[in-house]
Amino acid sequence: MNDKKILELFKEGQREKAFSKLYSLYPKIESLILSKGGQKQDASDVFQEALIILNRNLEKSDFKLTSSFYTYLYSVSRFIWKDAQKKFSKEELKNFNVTEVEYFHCVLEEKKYQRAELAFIELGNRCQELLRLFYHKAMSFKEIAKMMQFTSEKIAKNQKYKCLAKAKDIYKTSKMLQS
Amino acid sequence: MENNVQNIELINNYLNKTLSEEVLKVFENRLKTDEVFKTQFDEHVILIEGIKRQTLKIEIKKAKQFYTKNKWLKYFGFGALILLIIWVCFNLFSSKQNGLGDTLNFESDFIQNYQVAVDSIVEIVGVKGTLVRFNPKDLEMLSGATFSGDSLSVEVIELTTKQELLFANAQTVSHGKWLISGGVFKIDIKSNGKSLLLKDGKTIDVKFPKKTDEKEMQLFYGERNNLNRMNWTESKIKFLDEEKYYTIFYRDTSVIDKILTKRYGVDCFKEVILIDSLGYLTLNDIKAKYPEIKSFENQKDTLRILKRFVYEEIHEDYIEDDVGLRKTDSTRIELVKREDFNKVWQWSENIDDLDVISEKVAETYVNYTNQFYKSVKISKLGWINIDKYSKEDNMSNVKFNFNIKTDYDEVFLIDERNNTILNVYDKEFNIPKNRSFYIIAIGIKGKEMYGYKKSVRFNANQKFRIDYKKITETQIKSILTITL
Repeated sequence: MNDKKILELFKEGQREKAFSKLYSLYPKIESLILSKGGQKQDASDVFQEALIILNRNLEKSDFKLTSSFYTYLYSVSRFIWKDAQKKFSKEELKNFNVTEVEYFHCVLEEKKYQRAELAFIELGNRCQELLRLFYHKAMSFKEIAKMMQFTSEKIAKNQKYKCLAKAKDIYKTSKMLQS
Repeated sequence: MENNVQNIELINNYLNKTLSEEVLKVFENRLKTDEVFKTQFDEHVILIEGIKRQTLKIEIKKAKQFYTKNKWLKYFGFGALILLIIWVCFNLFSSKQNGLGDTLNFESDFIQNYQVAVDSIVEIVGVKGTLVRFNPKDLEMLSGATFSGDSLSVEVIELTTKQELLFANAQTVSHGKWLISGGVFKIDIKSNGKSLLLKDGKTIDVKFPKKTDEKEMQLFYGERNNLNRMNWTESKIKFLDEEKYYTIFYRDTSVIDKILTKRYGVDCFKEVILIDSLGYLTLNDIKAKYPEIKSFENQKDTLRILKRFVYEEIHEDYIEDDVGLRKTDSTRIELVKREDFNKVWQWSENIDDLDVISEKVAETYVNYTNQFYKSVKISKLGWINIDKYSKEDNMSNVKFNFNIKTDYDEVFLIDERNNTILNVYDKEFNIPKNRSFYIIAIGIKGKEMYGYKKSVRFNANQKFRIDYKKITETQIKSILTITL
């Protein structure tokens, strides 16, 4: 399938289908990571991160894919792996061209979201479920209350706020520890 | 806290694009001017994106599984396609080669059909004397089910000459080893057109005609491959001369004055009754099958002539009354009842009668043992061959080629001395030195047919050229005909 069709799948909200098409590029990314001393599991993780970054950028209204999916994913994967290995020298960072800066920026930006994800994972299962239903299933508090057996919408809403506050606390603490 | 909740709700509405134009303006202005609110907004967005990563990971995982599954399906599909192509090509080749095998097979010319009832023991004698005896109750369908109907169709093929073997494309090879055939037979029993099998542990009794003086023959079961070529597999049944046995019951009156005895109402018997001409029945079997033997035994004027093997079995029953043992040769013993012997002895003129009768019986016996193999119990229907392995050690290697490159060939090697016929699979074969063989080859190129026949004798390793000549399908039988 060509890039245009994959792009259309993303636009139509058929993300999972688009990802499965992009997985045809995985063997090349795997070869890259293996050639840089990584393991198969590393390659799988790197490719997953690259897909998440690609998806995030495609959702941005100002993003325009200027290369093929393969070039984009290959470059982003290379940056993710190098960053994970902490192998960027100051010299390299200085000599980045515009596109490389963009890739590098995406990788760094994603780290924030990774921390937030970890904060979310540290929440209890019930909190995780509540936030997922609200933010990703876009369910109303009435529906959430019914599904999660809260006595009222208001309690569901309060509980959601508490969960969110707890996640923020965890995130802030981890950010602080990291800095 | 209440303020925070309101802010979060406001941010959520902004992200969901549900704010009114007026509120949106205020919100965007606030983001620019209210640093605390901006921080709260940024943190909230980061957290939502963090939560979103979880959802994305699940989707990516599913996509990966889908991709992997599809990849293997594609490999499998591709593999299956390749296999299918190979299978089609192979079948195309096989069917054409098989078609040639069919063209050269005149097996159907030799089929004898017999319709028999299923309510009793069936006994069939083929044109060449093959005797088949079976109990229909011992047969079943291929599925193991009981067959229906009140009659069976028995198909018998008897191939006893090499010409017949050649016409029926019944080569005499057991897993690459040459055989000398004493005869090839096929027994197929069908119910409503469907072949039957013998039930587990059941056998049929068969006596095969003997058409060769070769000794130490064995029984082989045959199967044709998809190219119609026969291969024989050795069974445990061997036809060793010393194992043969034969039972003849003979009765004759020893009343000498036939006219006088007739006057007293006594019948004079003078006939040979071959009770067990197959030679496979034990004494108990004979008694069960021929209940009249009991009265026959009680008759004082009975003369029994038995083969040694059976004699030994019944020896104890008769020895006390037996007096004259006339051992006429190594394979036959005559037992004469004391009373009969005495009567015969008293009237010397009747001794001649007894001798004449004995000779007649002996002659019959010898004829039978020379004409047939010992009756055997076989556990498998289909192709049967009485063979022995051909022992050849002084061989020439012959590599052959053709003057015309055909699509398919069938090359036969026929031993002029023995009943040995081979399909030659490769372009070379080993052949006994200084022995005459026929080489017959038939090839197909497109729609053209080619034939070749020659009597040959090799005494060293050498190359041999088969010079095909164009023939028509009607000439195949004449190409396959060997002059003996």
